[in-house]
Amino acid sequence: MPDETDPISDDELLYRRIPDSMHWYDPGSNLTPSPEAFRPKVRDKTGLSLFRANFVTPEKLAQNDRNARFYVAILCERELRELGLEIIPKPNPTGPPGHCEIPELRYENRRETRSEEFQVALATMLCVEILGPLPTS
Amino acid sequence: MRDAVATLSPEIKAAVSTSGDKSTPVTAERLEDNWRERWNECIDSTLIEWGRNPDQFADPDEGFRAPTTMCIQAAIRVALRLRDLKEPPPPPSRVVPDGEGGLVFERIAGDTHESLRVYADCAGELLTFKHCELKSRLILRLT
Repeated sequence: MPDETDPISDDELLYRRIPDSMHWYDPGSNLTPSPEAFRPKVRDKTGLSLFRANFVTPEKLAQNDRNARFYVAILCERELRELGLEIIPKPNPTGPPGHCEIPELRYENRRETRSEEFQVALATMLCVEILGPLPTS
Repeated sequence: MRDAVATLSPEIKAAVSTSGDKSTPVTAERLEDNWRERWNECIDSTLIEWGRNPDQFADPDEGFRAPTTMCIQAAIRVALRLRDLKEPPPPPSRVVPDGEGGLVFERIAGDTHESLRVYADCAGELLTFKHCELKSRLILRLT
């Protein structure tokens, strides 16, 4: 039985939620998502939030009672690690299972060069696929 | 063997493509007009509309703040200024809120990514990335 605190293996897939309301991704255009979708926001104090595919489905991740629609970007742990990003498990008992974080991408350092470059790389190079917008319930 | 190679002709290819490109303006002037028109669309369809209802981007549950009125007004001034240049720059590929009270004009061309950021306090910044590497960061005065 896998545990949420288990280290993340190279072949694991990871999910990143992208809110539809912010226009950061438009499947009708031929553009990759905006780097804003990977820019730490005020709540990302300890790292950018991702979720492990071994513990949650994209559909479950998109569910909410606010009727807010989400896309879910799929990323591969190996590709993030090869870029130099570390991903650590950080289970959150009040949120969806499989929560993990990229500690290097935090709100406080979001304007630093390295962080800005990672944001662009995540958006333009590292999304394996983007699903959605997914049903909210 | 050398002779054999020398006598083999390469595959015949069309020297000149005859398919017409009707979408690309034929003169620089027309290209600039086209860009001005797209800057207009950006101002009218996006920024002015956002100004009418900025709260569509506020989401306290996600911690997102809507672009401030001041920021949207500054962004409109920037867009107008760029549109009215004698040689206007290409229009943005998209404009997005940054979730922190500001917004970003983004332009993507091949492996180049440009972000013209207008922060909530109307500070401005132009970042140019090539192959995801930050090549330049220019602080802009937008007031």
